[in-house]
Amino acid sequence: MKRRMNFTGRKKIYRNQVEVHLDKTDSGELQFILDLNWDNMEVPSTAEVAIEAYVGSNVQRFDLGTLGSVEFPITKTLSEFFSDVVYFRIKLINREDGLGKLLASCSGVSAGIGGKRTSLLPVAYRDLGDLIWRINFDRDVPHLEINRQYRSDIPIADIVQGNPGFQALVFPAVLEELLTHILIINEHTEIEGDEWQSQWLFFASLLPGVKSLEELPPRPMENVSDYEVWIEDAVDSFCRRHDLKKSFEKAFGG
Amino acid sequence: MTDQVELRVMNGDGIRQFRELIDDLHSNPGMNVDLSWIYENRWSDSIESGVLVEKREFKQKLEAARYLMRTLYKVELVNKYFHQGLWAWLSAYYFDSVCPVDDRGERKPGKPYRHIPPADRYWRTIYRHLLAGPIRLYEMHGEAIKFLLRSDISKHGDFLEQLASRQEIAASKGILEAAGLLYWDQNTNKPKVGARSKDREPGTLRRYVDVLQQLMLTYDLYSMDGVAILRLLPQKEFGSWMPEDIRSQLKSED
Repeated sequence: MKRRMNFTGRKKIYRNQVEVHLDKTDSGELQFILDLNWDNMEVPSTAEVAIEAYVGSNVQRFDLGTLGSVEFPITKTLSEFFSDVVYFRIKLINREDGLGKLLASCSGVSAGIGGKRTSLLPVAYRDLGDLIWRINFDRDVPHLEINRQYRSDIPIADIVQGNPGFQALVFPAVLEELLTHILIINEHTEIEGDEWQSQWLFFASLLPGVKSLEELPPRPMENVSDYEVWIEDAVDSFCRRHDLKKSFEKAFGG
Repeated sequence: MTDQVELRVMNGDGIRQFRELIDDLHSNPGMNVDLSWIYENRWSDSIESGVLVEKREFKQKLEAARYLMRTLYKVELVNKYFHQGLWAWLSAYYFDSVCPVDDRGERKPGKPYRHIPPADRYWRTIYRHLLAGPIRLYEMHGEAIKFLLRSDISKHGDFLEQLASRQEIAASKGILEAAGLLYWDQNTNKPKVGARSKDREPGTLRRYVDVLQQLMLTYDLYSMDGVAILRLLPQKEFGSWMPEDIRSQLKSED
């Protein structure tokens, strides 16, 4: 039997195909209501649906049965969560191959009590002259600012949210700029805590192949090259994880 | 006669007092530790569960997990495995186990989160609590992951850190089982020599975690058992770490 590591035929479930709301029951437990629009997904109705709710190291999984048998929206109780914001991973799985291959998936879908949602990188639309995008560090958390002045036939919001070419070109640069700002300019190396800097370091440290920051020498300014290599590894891993080369080819290939 | 007391939860003042004690120990590790105050209403509350906890000295995480799971099942607290006051109180009650006096007459408590679980928002370190972390894993997976808990209760340990810090990994019984098959030496009851290498050498635990994160893009590893996950690993890299019978079986399938 041949095992091929990087082959993946899975489809992406886009954010606009998922709607999640979080609420509290009368007994104080969290519950979520999740709707999935799979009409145009080209996934068979025999695919099995699994929803994983997670916050930090805590995860609760719901195996819902086959796609064709699930009546969306579904409502489920989260018995082990206490956070105001919960993240969701949605998996459509082929069980017929005996392996459990993913046919489609998405992760990081957030929902909060009262509609509260968190994003590590909020997007804001601004007048930026001839600049397409920039990161603004002057706010409480950094924002990805996008120029909003384009011809009316250019759907910039759609491009930012769903265009694979834009994502392949911009997101790695965004990650590199953020990590450089945090580690080398701010010298913030603390991964614990709730500050946005720690959240980004935590996000980067969980990427495959990225070593723990604790393995680096302290004081980034005195060990800049070690931190630059770490940032480079994180960005490389991010690109691999999200198949950005393939996204680029898909967007600009013939 | 066994020494047992009614289970209590620390209140806010108790948690502050306990944190101060941990801070004091950092500057004066040889100081005398008096924790008799943890039974007083000023610092802790009764939860009227009727549950009694026995004074024991645990050496391994597994002993504590087995005993506390059995003892706490009757406790009705919302999110009891994440309850800050409960686990802070238990840490103080079992302080001689989780922060023992060493040969030099000193205690080294380490970071406060090893003894006091994070408040709601600081969820990233919750698995590092020396009692709540292992017990949560034991509660999820039972005896199947006992190898992970056969280590000194006063130390979090790198082996556990690599597997417990990532929720997709910690939540999957199969992934943990496979880690046990690959890296746990049944004869010595310790990780196999070289398994914990920090240099990401081929086939080591850190590489296993990296490869898993790639495989998760393609497969629903959560629903697989340990042997099924071993089947997905590249034989060339991981074959020599696998038990002989499984290695032979996989070779014959190739």
